[in-house]
Amino acid sequence: MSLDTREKREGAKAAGVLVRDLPVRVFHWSLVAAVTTALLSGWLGGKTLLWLHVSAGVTVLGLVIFRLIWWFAGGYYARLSTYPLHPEKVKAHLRGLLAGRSRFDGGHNPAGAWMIVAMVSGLGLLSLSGLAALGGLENAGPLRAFVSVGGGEAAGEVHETLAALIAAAIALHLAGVFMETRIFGHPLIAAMTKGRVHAPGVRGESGGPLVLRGAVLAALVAAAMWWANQALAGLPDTRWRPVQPAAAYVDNCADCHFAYHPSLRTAEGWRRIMAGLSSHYGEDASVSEADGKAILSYLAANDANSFSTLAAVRIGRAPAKDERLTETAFWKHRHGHIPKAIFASRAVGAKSNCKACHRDAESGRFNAWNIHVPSTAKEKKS
Amino acid sequence: MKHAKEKLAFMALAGALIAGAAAATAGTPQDILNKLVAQAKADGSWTGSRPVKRGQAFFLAKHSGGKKKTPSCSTCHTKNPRNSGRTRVGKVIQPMALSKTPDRYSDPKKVAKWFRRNCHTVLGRPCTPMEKGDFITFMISQ
Repeated sequence: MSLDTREKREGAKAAGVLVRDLPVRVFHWSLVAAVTTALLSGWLGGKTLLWLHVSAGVTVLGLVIFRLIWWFAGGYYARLSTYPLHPEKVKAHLRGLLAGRSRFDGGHNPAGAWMIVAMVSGLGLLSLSGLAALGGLENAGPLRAFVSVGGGEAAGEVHETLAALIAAAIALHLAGVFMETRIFGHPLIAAMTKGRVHAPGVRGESGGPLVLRGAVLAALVAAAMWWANQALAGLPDTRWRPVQPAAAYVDNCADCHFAYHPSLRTAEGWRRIMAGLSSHYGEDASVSEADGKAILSYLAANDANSFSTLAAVRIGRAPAKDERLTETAFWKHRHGHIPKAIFASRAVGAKSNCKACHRDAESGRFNAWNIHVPSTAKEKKS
Repeated sequence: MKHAKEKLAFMALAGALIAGAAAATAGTPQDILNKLVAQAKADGSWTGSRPVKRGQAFFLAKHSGGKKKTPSCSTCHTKNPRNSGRTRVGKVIQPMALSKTPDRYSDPKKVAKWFRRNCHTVLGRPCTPMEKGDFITFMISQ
């Protein structure tokens, strides 16, 4: 044996053996960053950080897809087939923990393996339910064409529950890693950072081909997601369409208030409003007969039943005292937390002035990311 | 007979000219005001004196008979017609003073629409030609 090879072998010994291939490590820490961003922006960011939340969530989805494939294409310890998932192994592992014993063989112990399975599937469902909520509630994103308002609401509930479960799983994961490293001295953190560990009897793997394979797979997943998004975004929108307000509507109605989108009431509701214009919420808003006809035909042709946006379904089609949008259960639920002073402020003026905060109110879309409460409204009433 | 025909043609031409001139000036506040004054004179309510003062008093007065939340023009238009006002649902109303909003009182249909709506809302009755004339006179002076 030449000196050269011996040196190499000694060097390898000093560095340890490879148990976490580079793609798995990059995956893990990218996932940490993306999930942290998504959880924080989801819980604390409100509507303002929705774009960040969605970006982080889509990143999570991409990482999950990568990891699912890596279960079958990755390094030895990254493969699902090497996970000790059998219930007997789990039982034995838990009994061992109670007796103060835990073994490290380079791979994952049964509890850790189940944690990975739970995380990967849970985060997959979490990101998909998020996209379903985005599609159903906002009529946006890749699932827009497949999810109704009701479906979006259900997906939103699932999304919130899963987020709480994932947070609990993260806590459990950290507790497990803490226990393994601090109590049993297993090099789990070193494995997930440097990739190599010193442990007797641990099988190593050669990283080179895995790095290339991981890079190609990551690029393929990203390209597939981009392509899928483009293809889905091109599907026709059956729930919302742009409408040009009738001239008579703008002339007669939009002097006192912004031109409410016709999808905010049903044709019957609009008919009731038009019939009572001489006493319209405390004012005479009468119109000529010809204008009245033109206005009603515009409103009826584009009413709440001809749109399926969240606003059309939950406000437009909902019963409301005096046809007031602000008297619908949904409006009250969504605006209940807003201080009265904001509505009374100079920049807003009244609860019915949707446009003051909903910048896309006139289009009837009412997307979450278009809500901007005027900064002056938050100051004391002027 | 021929003479009579010429006379008729002349009258038709003159009539057309007058109508044309009237149409040409229909777009000015003064024309709308002139019409209101003529109506007030016709119904005998015209007094002629101090219309600016009367218009201002009318604008600021608290009227009764209209809707509860809008007792005065100034409820929405503010007490100074040179200020912009706000509708009850928060939309900005351009100042009523002609000097601030030069395109006001030039579209007879618009003027008629707002007197119809707002007199009913604030006073609970149509305004008299003199009230309307005073109002516009006051706004022209501002």
